[in-house]
Formats: sequence, structure tokens, C-alpha cells
Amino acid sequence: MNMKVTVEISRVLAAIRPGLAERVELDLPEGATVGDALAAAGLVQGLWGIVVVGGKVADVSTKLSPGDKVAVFPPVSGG
Amino acid sequence: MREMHGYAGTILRVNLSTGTVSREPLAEDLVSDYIGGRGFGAHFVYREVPPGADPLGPGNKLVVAAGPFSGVFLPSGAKTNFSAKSPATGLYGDSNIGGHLAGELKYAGYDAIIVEGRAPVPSYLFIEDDKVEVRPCEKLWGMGAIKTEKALKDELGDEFQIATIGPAGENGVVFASVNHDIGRQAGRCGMGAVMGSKNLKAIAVRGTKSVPVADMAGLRKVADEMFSALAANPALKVWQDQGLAQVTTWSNSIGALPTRNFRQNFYENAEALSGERMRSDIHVRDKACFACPMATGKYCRARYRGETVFLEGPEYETTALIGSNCALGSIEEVAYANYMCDELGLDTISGGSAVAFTMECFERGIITKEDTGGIEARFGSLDAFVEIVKLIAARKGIGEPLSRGVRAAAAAWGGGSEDFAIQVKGLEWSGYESRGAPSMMLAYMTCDIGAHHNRAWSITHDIAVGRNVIDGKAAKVIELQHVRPLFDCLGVCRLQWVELGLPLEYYARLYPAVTGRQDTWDDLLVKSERIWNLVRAFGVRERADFGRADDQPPRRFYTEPVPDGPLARSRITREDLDRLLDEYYDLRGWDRNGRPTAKTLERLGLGDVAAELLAMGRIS
Amino acid sequence: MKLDLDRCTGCKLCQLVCSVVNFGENNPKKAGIRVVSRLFTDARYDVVVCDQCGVCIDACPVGAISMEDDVVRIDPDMCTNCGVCVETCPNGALFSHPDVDYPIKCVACGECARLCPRGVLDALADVRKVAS
Repeated sequence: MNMKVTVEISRVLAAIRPGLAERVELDLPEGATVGDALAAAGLVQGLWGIVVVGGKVADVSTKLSPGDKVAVFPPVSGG
Repeated sequence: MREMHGYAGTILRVNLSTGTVSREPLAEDLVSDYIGGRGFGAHFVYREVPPGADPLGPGNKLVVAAGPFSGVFLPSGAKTNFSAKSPATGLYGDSNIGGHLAGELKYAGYDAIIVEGRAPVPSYLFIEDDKVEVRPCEKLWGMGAIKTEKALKDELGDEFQIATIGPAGENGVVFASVNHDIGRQAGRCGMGAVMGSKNLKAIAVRGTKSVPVADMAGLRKVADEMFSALAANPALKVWQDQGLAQVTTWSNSIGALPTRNFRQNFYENAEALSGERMRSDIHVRDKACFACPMATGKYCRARYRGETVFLEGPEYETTALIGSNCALGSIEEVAYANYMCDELGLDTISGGSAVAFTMECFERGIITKEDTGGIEARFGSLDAFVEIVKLIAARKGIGEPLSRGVRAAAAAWGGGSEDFAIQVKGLEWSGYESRGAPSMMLAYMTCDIGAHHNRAWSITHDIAVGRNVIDGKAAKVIELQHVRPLFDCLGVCRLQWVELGLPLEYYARLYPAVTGRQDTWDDLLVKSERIWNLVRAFGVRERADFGRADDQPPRRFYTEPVPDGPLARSRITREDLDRLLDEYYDLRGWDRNGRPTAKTLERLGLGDVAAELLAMGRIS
Repeated sequence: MKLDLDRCTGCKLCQLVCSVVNFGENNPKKAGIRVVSRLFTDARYDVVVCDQCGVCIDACPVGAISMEDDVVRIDPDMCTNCGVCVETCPNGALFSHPDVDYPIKCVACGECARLCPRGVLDALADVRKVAS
């Protein structure tokens, strides 16, 4: 069974890569992780810094549930 | 006099040699051409510091400037810019500081302070609204930077905002910092040494006035939207918890964490230096700059040899340059080393780099225990770190050449150490090893003050479009070199934009609401490009041989492949670097020697600068 | 009234917004609230603000202070700016400013509580509820 997940990409991060949308709706297989969602949204490793799912900090191995919103932010770029 | 919206309306000029204090109305063309902050600094340093002036002589000038957004109702209008001719580079230098100083300066009635000359005795500058005094303070001379802040707060009261220097600044260490708010620094380019050379131990400010704005209702609307957007941002909590320390793990994972004097870009022990460890092991309290919801300041506790100290930090740059770059073993060790640098008044970036350079020279046998006065200067030794920075601040023993920066130390020690003196233009490289990030490498090479990351930070661009790709990278670097320093002109922090993704449109809307001026964001970017070229022109006017040779990274980066980690064996070639520079100069309208053409300067409204440099035969 | 001081980061947004809302100016000294840094001594921040206790009402020699809807208010027209209330306030929560001819104090508008990024001032928002 598949589940619907939304990836919300911070605007400043979306601007880094032409064609990267700020909001991506995904249909992922059950048991999919944050890493699967980010890859499906076109985000290669190293491009993002913070990932938040349901208000909690997550990492690539975090398992997703149907309807989850995955918010992605760029890595810090310093003062 | 017409009220100038967004500005206090007055420049304070203090000549320390004569003790004269004067006030100048803020000129309309200064505001419309240079905005504030870094722009004011670049303008006054170019116009008023004569070519050839000794950076540590009375002829240099220190410009301390807020911007139109400083102290105004919006997120983190907290940035104060310090500019002068830099003793580290001999070129224009600037560095900015957060905390609570920028607004206070404007509440006291001043947009900027220009400090000239040299006080006959150690002094501090006292400013309380219209009362401005140069006060002798022999008893503070020699005191640590943070202890000095405490001493002045005890005497003057908590409402005074205070910038201080430590012994390193007094002694003329070229990477001495200006310190404020218990552990925030304008660390780069030796602004603390410029203060010290003027016998100026501190600046203390308190103000009770208002900063006028053009459209308070409009400002409140935009600011409210910004504060609401930040409050609703899911990443805010991460920032509030870890601040900038969170990046250490990421930087290591992508092969950018400076390790063992930038020989490596991956630290096997990075977990011990992570933001999580900072939070769990040493964190005491979150600490914010003025009107900032992010509160990236982390007040921490560190113990070393029976002594317990408190400090703000370490944030990422410090963790990288002191931690992995000197191969220290824990975040608490980094924190203690951070504390030592803060008290001595040393930039943790250049300071960490100087120690790492010393350690590499020692391990290679270029210097010995005889040179170090018995210090076992090996990677991983906090004891060695502490002893070396003390020598640097005092400018004694090996600390003397090091106090002039790693470029000078390499010249003194030889043995091929120039190749791994990690600097550009005499300024030590900050926290991103860039052999696997060509645009970031170019950003460091061309940063106007030397090897600093803050003008253009583009590693994610390299990752997004390809880490070996060269074409198109220069355009990205130039774009960032205009937009990011704009925040340093406006006197506002850019973290809310670059980290939390607050759209730039907010800042574009703030500008007319605050100032009443109708410039679009693109208009402001042109001003930022003007400032960039004025700073470049300073170097061209300063030195007949200034140019492309000043934009080179250390040889290590194009001769030694990365030895290990995620980017093992990757390298950047000499040819790649030349292509990057050619493309960069062409896009900027500079010649292939990196000098702005007269046409470019004229396009940017710098016709008089073009005429001056043409007459000197420096440009064509 | 209990403020969650342990969460305060010393950003002073409360002081700034107070001056914006109540005076239409950017001026944290023209505010009815103060953030005090105690980092050097106790590694924390303090917030000083009126808890509407009313001690100043009886202290005022000209009767310019009164309680309205649970909020202590100073009538600027009656106030002679003698400073007795400032001296009397047990919390030190009345503030003199050179450009304002009466002491400035919290009027429980709740704006600082609304904007505080850490919820330190939630208790002040409650006062507003009582007041309205």
C-alpha cells in the first residue's frame, strides 16, 4: 500500500537548484523513510541540513507515516 | 534639519590624539550611495585613509557603523560593522558583530563613529546620548576582553553596550578581535589591533532616543509577518537548541570540515564536537542578539585543569578551526580554547588556524621544541593550544611571527610551509575546506577582505550542480557577493533569510517602510556592487602589484589531493582555478589581472575613483 | 504572576515592541518592561515588569494612579513626575525617560507576550485577558 507524503522545501534551498519545487507531493511505498522522500523530491545528499517531520527533527532513517509533512532546510551557511 | 528615516542622522568623529569630538550631519549622498554599515565603512576608509598608511599607525581610521535596519522593529537588526585598513592584509578590512551594540549606537543618536589618531594614554570612549567623552582607563589595560566588559558594566550599568579588546589587541596581533556581549566578536581582519593601536580599550554606549522610520504602520505590518513566519518555522527549534554548532556534522559528512590544518576535510572524531554534544555536555543557556527569535548564542561552561569558565560558544567556525583543525578531542576542550581566545581578544578563526599551522610545522620538524620554548606542539593537544595562543597574544617567542598571521609565520619559518599556510591576502581561511567545491574555492579566493566565507557561501550550489563543474560557478559567486553583504550594509542579520528561508521580499518591503526611499531590491544590489568595487579599488590604489596574484589559494589545495573521507582523492587543478578566475573577472568587468576597468567603475558611479586610478596608471 | 525566566534569551524584543505599540517609536528605553542581563553573576536573564500589585496607587501624592480593569494606570495629565512611585515600586517596574513627563509602566497590552519567541511572558497575556 502506498502513502501520501508532502515534502516542503525551504525557499532559500529551492532557489539553489533550478527546477526544485518548494512543495512536492509524493506517493511512497509503506515503510518509506525520510531519505526515500528526499531522494524522490530530487534532493541529493549534502544539499539539505535540517529535516523536520511533525515538529520533530528527523534524519534519513526516520520512518514516515501517511500524511506526514517533511520540511527541509539548507545546511547552515554561517554569519 | 530634515529627519532622515531609518537613521539617527549624525556621524560622530572622535580624534583620540587631540581629544576632539565632533558631529557631522549624515550626508544625503552617503546614504543614497552606500546605505550604511559596511558601505559607510568602505566609503570612509577609501576616502579618508591615505594610501600607504600604517594600519597600526595614527593615520588609520576605525569606522564603527550601524545600518538603517539596526535597532528598528524587525527581526535581528543587530549588526554593527567595524572597518579600517587591515593590519592582516594591508587592504581594506571589515568585520561585523551581533549582540546589542548597533541599536544602542543609534538610540544614542549616531549612525557611525569614526575614530582617528591615537590617545596619549589607554582610554575608552564613553557615549551616553549627547555626552561623549574620551576617558582614561590605565587600570583596564592588560585585562581580558570579557573581564573588561564586566568591569565597565559594573561601573556604568547593564544598559551600556560595550565593545572591548583584550591583550592581543593592545599588543597589535593582526588577528585581534573586537569583543562584545560576553563572547561575540568582530573577529576578522584585526579590527581589535586597530583599536589597540589607538590606545582605545573599549567603546561604551547607552542611548535613550528613538530611531525615526518613514512608515510605522507599514513597518509593523511587514515585521509582524516576519516574526509570525519565524515563529511558525519548523526549523526554528533546532536553531534555538544548537545554534550554528549543528553544522559540524553536516560539514564533516560532505567533506568540508577543516581537519589538521586543512590537510584533510573529514574528522574521524567529529561526533565528539557535534552540536548535540555541545547541547548535552556544556550548554548552560540560550543567548540572543537584539530582537532575534533564533538565539543562536549558546552560553556554555567549560572546565580545564581545575578551572571552570563560562563563555558564549563554540559555534561552527570556532569548532572547525579550533576543534577539528587542531584535532582536539571534545567539545569541552574546544570551548575552553574558545574562552582563552575570547579573553585574550583573538579571532578564533585565525587563532585556530595559526595554532594548527604551528602544529603541522612542528610535526614536520620545520620548527622544534627549541623554537617553541619547550611546547610539544602536536595535533590534539589542548595544553599546546593554550600555551601557543598566550604567546601569540603576548607576541613572545614563536608567538611573534604567528601574531602577524600564518603568511608571515611561513615566511619566517620557511621549509616549504608557505604551501600550507592556509590564507588568502594574508587572512586565514575560515571553516570550509573547498577542494571539492569549486564555487566555494572561488568565493574564498575572491572575497574582498581575504579568505572569509561570509560574502559568498555556495557549497550547496556546488553540491546541487556538480562538485567537479567549473562553468557557471563564477556567476553564482558574484550574485552572492552582492546580496549577502547587503545585509551588512543594512545592519541586519542574514541568518533568518539564509537559514530559515525567510524570503528576500520581506527585506525589500522593509527598506521603503523604514527609510522612505523607493529603491527596489535590484537598486540595492547595484549599491552593493559599487561597494564591492570600491573595496577592490582600495587595493589597486594601495599597491602597484595588487591583482590576480592576491586571489590565489595556498598551494596545498591544488597540489595535494584530499587524503581520506567522503571526498578522498578529489582535487582541484591549477587550470580549474585559472578558468574560475578568468570567468569571474570577465563577468565583473575587471581585466584579467583582477583590476576593475575605468568603464566598470564609471558604470557604478565611481567616476572619480576611476580618474584617480587612471592618473596613477593603475587601471585602463 | 509567574514569568518563565528560565527561557529568556535576552533578545529585548519585548522592550522594542512595547515602545512601538505604546509610543509609535523604535526605542527600547521608552518601554514598560526591561530585560536585565545577569549572565556575569548567575548565567541568566531577568525581566522586570509591573505585576499590577497597586502599591504605587497609595504612594502617589497627587492621586494620578488608579486601577482600571485590573491594570494599574497613570494619568499623564495629573502626574507631576515627582518620582515617588518609581521609588516605591517593589519590583522597580516603573521607568523614567528623559522625553516622557510621567513614569512609563506596563499597560497590559499583551503585545510583548504575543511576540516573545520563547513564551517567557505568557503570564502577561493573561493579565490582558483579565483587563479586557
